[in-house]
Amino acid sequence: MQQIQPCWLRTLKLQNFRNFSSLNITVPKDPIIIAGPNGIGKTNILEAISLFSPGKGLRQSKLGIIKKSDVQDQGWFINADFEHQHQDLNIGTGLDLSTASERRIVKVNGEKSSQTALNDWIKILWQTPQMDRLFIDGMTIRRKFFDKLLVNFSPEHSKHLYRYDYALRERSKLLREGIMDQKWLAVLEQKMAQESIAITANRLDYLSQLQGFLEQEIEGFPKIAVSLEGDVETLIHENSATVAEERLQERLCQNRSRDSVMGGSKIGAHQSEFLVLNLDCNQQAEVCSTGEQKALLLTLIMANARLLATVHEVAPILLLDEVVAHLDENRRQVLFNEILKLGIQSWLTGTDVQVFEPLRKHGHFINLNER
Amino acid sequence: MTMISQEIDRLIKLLAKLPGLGPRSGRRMALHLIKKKTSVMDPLIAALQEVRATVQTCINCGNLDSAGKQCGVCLDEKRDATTICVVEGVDDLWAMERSNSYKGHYHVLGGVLSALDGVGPDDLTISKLQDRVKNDNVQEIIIALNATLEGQTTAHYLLERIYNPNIKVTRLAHGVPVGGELDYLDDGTISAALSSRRPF
Ligand SMILES: Nc1ncnc2c1ncn2[C@@H]1O[C@H](COP(=O)(O)OP(=O)(O)OP(=O)(O)O)[C@@H](O)[C@H]1O
Ligand SMILES: [Mg+2]
Ligand SMILES: [Zn+2]
Repeated sequence: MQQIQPCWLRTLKLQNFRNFSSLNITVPKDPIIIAGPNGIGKTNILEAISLFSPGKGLRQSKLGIIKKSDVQDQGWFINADFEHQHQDLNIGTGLDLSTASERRIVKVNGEKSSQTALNDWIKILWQTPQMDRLFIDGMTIRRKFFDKLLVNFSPEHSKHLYRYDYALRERSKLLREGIMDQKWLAVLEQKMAQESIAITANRLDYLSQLQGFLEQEIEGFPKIAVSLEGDVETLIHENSATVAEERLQERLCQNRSRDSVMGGSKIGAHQSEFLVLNLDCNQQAEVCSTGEQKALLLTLIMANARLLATVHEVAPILLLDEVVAHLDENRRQVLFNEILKLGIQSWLTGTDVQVFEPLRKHGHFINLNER
Repeated sequence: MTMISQEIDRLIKLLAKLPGLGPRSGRRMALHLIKKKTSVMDPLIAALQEVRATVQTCINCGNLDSAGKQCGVCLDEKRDATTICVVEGVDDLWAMERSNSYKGHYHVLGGVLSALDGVGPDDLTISKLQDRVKNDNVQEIIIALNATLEGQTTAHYLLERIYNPNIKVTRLAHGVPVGGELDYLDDGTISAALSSRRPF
């Protein structure tokens, strides 16, 4: 095993963020436990940390909604000091209302930067109650979930997704409006084919790396297998990349009249389905019990944490919102051991401080009531 | 808005509609103009009138100039008429000219393909470019569209439309960042991208 490069948050400052006018906390690398009653701001703190990664954070909220609702004419800001590979790292982000554009500004070590660049610095993984329906809701949500995890390993992936999405939208619009410009459509379909192959190859590569960790024995947690199914996957399995790309472009061309009636595209990287199988009972995740599904999700998140930490040598920061209380006592203990063993900074929340008792010695407890 | 005279208000509203400006900068500009009638406002009025009266779109390449039906670039006999550089807009043409490293002719496309924005091939000067390629003695076409997704789609589309085995089609080398628009590049970057241009 290679040396894991430590990365953890040391101080966090919030300003006009959700229910906090201002908050300033300093924490160690140890597991951090935020316990307290409903509505005190536990999830808000985790959301703030999640915004040190690209995107809309763990609540997927609009920027304006995050601003403390009773302040006017001011934006919200968050800032954190990290220890990153034995160096100091400062990241600030927020919504600056003095500029016209409603975009999240990002500063790294005081220099203007971009959301995408955050991915080069910090990796953050989270599990929240909102994700409970991941295995039940449609395949689109699951695909987005895995693609987001994948971007941690391959930042290029989001560019491929973006380009694919663009070509798909343009082609759909042309077909919908009956603009049958053969050359224009062909150029867009060529891009769709090219990006579909790149995206699918990325996904398959990621899953093959992840699978080893998904099958690892972790006492009390289910072992799982994740597979990817779709027409593009079949094309890739049966052909070289160049041939697969040509075939896919042909299929897109053949589908034009069908797609112009049905909308979208019948084939492409946006149709791939991630299937999650519980190996312990040989059942698809969606038919497992609620508690089992939570455990499956945690297995997935932890496998990603281990993959990042060991193969890619970057320690992620782990945010587990209300996860612990739903695990039985045995699983809880296993999770705590796992977190301590991995040595990655973990933020755990719950209403009942009692359930975190085993961490009393090794954890850092934050009591929001006393603030 | 009762405190502001109708005339000033109209001026502010017109200024605020200009690209890059808004109500606040509109008000500041209007005030500035009014305060400096002779030193700023009068020359501005004169410049606007003159541009209004003389500047036209070149019937050949789409450039803006006051030279007549054709622009100074097209009329300049010292420039190489066998090479055409295709750009999105006149601002990109200006950026190329500022770099002082290109001595051929231009073709201003007037935008890029975007189904979402309702811009199709007929909204651009593509057939005009085909005519030029057919009738003039063109040997090389340099596609210098912005590296945006739309720009790249348009570039590939052009390639299909103007295909001719006797004409070399090249593009600017990577020096033009993705999403980076020509107009924002410094002159050195443009000339480097030009000199190391490569076949499509
Ligand atoms: N933009 C905002 N401005 C002000 N307050 C907000 C804003 N957004 C959310 N809040 C409030 O923040 C409070 C804390 O929310 P949060 O979700 O963090 O609570 P929690 O501690 O996680 O509670 P639970 O245990 O129920 O999950 C809530 O009362 C909510 O109304
Ligand atoms: Mg909560
Ligand atoms: Zn001209």
